[in-house]
Amino acid sequence: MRAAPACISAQSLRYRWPGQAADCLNCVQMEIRAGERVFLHGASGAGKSTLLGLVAGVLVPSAGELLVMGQSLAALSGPQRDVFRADHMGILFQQFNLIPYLPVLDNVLLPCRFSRRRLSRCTQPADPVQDARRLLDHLEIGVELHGRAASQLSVGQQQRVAAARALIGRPELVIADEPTSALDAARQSAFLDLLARECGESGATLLFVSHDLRLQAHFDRVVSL
Amino acid sequence: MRTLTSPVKLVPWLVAMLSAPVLAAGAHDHGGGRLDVSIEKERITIELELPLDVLVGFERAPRNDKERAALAAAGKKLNDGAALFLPTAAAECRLTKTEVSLPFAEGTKTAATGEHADADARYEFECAQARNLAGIETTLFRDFSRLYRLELQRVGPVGQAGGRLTRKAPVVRW
Amino acid sequence: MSFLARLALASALNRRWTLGLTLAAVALSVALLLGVERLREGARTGFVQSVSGTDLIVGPRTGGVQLLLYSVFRIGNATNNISWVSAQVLGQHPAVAWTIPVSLGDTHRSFPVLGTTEAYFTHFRHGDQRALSLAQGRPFAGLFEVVLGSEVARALGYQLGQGITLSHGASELSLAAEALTQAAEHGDKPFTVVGILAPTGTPVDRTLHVTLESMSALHLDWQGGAPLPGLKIPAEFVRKFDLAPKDVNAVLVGLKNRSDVFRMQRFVNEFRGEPLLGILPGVTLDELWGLLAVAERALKAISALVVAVGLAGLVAVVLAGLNERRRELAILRSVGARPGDIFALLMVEGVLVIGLGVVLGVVLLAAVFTAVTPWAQTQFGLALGGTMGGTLPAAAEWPLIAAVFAAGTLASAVPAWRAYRLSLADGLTPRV
Ligand SMILES: Nc1ncnc2c1ncn2[C@@H]1O[C@H](COP(=O)(O)OP(=O)(O)OP(=O)(O)O)[C@@H](O)[C@H]1O
Ligand SMILES: [Mg+2]
Repeated sequence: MRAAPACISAQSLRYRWPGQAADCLNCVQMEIRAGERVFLHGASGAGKSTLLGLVAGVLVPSAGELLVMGQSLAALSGPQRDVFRADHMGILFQQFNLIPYLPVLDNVLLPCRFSRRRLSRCTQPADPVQDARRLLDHLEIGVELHGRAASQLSVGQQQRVAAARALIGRPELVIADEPTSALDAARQSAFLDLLARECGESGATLLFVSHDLRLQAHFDRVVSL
Repeated sequence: MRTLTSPVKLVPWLVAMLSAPVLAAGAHDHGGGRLDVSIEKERITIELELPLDVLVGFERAPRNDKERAALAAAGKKLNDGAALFLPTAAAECRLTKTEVSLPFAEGTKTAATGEHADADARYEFECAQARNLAGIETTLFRDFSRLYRLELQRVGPVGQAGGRLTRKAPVVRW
Repeated sequence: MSFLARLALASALNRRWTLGLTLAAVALSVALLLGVERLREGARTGFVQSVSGTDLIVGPRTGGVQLLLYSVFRIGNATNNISWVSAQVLGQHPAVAWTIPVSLGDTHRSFPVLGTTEAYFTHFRHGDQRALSLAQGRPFAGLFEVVLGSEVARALGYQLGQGITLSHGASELSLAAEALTQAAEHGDKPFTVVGILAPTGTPVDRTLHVTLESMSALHLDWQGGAPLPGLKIPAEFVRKFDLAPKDVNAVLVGLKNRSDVFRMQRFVNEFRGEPLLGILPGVTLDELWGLLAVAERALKAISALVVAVGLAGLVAVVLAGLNERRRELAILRSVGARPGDIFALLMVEGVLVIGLGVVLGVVLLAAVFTAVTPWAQTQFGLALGGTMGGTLPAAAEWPLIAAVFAAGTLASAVPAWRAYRLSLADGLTPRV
C-alpha cells in the first residue's frame, strides 16, 4: 500500500471564481494514493465541488500545482483535458446523473462513446455491453430495467446506474459529489457499500465528497477542507 | 363558391386600373423609346423608334447651327448600327442593312405630324452561328443621355416576349 | 459523429411536441415561400399555353392587358368593339394567314359564350401548337347551334342534341341578378348542342361557342342590354333578318410569317378606318406579369418574413429548452464530451429540424398543388403549368431551398453557441 503511486497530488492549490474578490480554495495541500478510498469533508460552501471541478479538469487552478496520475492538468489544453477526463475518470453527481431520454444501458455506455481508452479497457472492447450488464447486475439493477428510459427509474436506481457508468472501462479515478444526498439512510449505506466494493474490485481510487460525516465509516481516510 | 371566385373577379378591375394609362398604343413617351427585335433563322431584324426629343432635346425643325449639328450627329450615330447593337460575339453577326428616318434632317423630307416627331430606324444582321446568340447589347443609352428606357417586344423561335431595357439593363436576352 | 447525431435525434424525439410544432411552422413557411414562386411560374405557363398559336390580337383601343384578358381568358368585360368591316380588312391583309373573330358578352350558367367563325376550329392553337379537336359531334354550321368546351359539358352534364338557353350579360355579376334573370334570358331562342370539344387545359374548356350570326340573332330584339318592350321576334322569323355581324370585340390573327408581326402591328395601330390596338400576346403577358410583379414581390417578402418567424420560433424553442438541458449537457461533459461536441449536438438538432421542415414543406406543397390543379382547371380553365403538380422542386426553387437551409443553419448556431458557452461556464455543476 505504501508503495502505491500518487493518484491526486495538490500543492498550494488556489482557485478563485472569475469576478470574485476572494479565493474559493486557498492553499490546498492534498495527496491521495492510487487505490485509496477517500472521504472529502467540508461545510457547505467550503469549496468541495470546486475542488472536484479542478480535479476533473473542468476548472483550471489559479495558482499552485495539481497532478492527477502524475499529469499536470494545467499543462493540457481544454480538449486534451476533456479526453483525459473521459479516459481516466468516472464522475457521479448529487442527483439527475442520467440522460433522461436514453435507455439505462446507453447511459452506462456513454464514457465508452467518448473515450477509446475506456472502451479498450472493457473486458471485451468489441462488446462493451457485456461489461455494462455485469456492472448493472453487480449494482443490483435487474435485466428488465436495462432497456428502460432512465427517467423511469427511482432515484436510488438512477444513482446505481450512474455508478455503473462511472465504473465502466475501469477508470483509475472515481469522483463522487454527494451522490447519496437524495437517498434515505438505509439506502445511502447500501449504495456506499456497493460503490466501495466495486471501486475495490476494479482498483479505482475513490474520491467521495460529502458534508455528512456519518458516511465516513465506508472509507479508508477522511480529508477535510 | 362565391367567396372563392370573388377575388378573381377583382383581377381584371385591378389590371384595368393599373394598365390603362400605361398601355395606350403608339403613345409618345418622353425619355423612352420602342425596340422591336425579331429573329428568323440567321437574320435578326431590329426596329427602333425614338422620340426626337431623346436624340437631340427638341422636337421641331432646327433653328440654329447648333441644333442642326446636333441633328446631324444623332443621324450619324443612328446610321452606325454595328456600334449601336452588339449581338453575342460567338454568333458572328454582321450588319447587312440599315434604314434610318430622322425628321428634319437634311435630305429627309419627312414632316412630323402633330406635336411630336419620332426617329425610326431598322437594322438587319445576318448571323453565321445563330445558335450561339444569347443576347444583344445596345449602346443607345450611352449615346443618348436623355434616353431612360426602351419598351421591348421580341419574337423568335422561343415565341414572343416583352420587357424593358434600361440604363442598368441594356441587354436583350433569351 | 454518428453517435452525436443519434444522441441529437434521441434528444429531439424526447422533445417531439415542442420541436414538432416548430417543425410544422418551418414546413408551412417553406411551403408558402416556394408556393408563391411556383404559382407564378405555373400560372405563367398556363397562360402562355392558352395563346400559343396567336401572333397578334386586334381590338379596340383599350388597355393591352385588358384586351388580352377578355379575348383569350374571358376575364373582365369586353366593353368596346371594332367594326366587322375592319375585321374583314384585317383578314384580307396579304401577311395574314387567318383571323378568328371574338364576340363576347353572353353567358350560360356563368360560363362565357363566344361568338366566332369556323376558323376557330381550324386555326386556334393551344399548348404546343395543338389544334382543337372535337370529342363528340361536329363544329357549328348554322344558327342556334352550340359547341361546348369540355368543362362546360362535364359540369352541366350536357349531351349532344340537348337544347339550352343563353342569358344576356354576365348575369352572375349583377346584384339584381335574381330579379333580372327571368327578363334577361334569351328563352325564346334555344340552342342545340352539336359538338363537344376535347379538353385543352385552357379557357376554351369553359366556353360555349356559337356563330357570329347566332350572336346577332340573339340580340335582334334587344337594345342596350335589355329586350325591347313589345318587340318579340320568334326564332323561326329570325332568318329573314340580316344577321351579318356589325361588330366584334376582338380578332385573333395568325400570320404567314411570324416575323412580320411588327409590321402588322404597325398597320393595325395606324389603321385608317377606326382606332385599333394590336398586341403581341406574349409581350402583353410579360407586361401583365410585370404589373403583377409588385404584388408578387410583396407576397415573396411576406413569405420570407414568415420563414424568418419560423426560424426565430425554432431558435426560441431550442434556447428556452436549453436551461432545462443544462444538466444533460453537464452529464455529457462529465463523460468526456468536449464543448465542441455540445455545439455540434445542438447544431445537428437545429439542422435536423430545418432539413425535415424543408422536406416536409416541399411535400406539403406538392400535395397542395396536386389537389389544387384540377380546381384551377375547372375554375379558370387554366392547366397550371407542368411544374405545379410535380413532386420535385423545379430548378428555380433550389436556390430558395438552399437559402432557407443556410439561414436555418445560421439560426441554429445561436442556441448551439449559447450551449457551448454554458457548458464551458457550468463545467460539472450546472446552476439552474
Ligand atoms: N460559478 C461560480 N461562480 C462564482 N462563485 C462560485 C461559483 N460556484 C461556486 N462558487 C462559490 O464558491 C464557493 C464554493 O462552492 P462549492 O460549490 O465548491 O461548495 P461546496 O463545498 O460544494 O458546497 P455544498 O456542500 O453546498 O455543495 C461558494 O462560496 C460559492 O459561492
Ligand atoms: Mg457541492
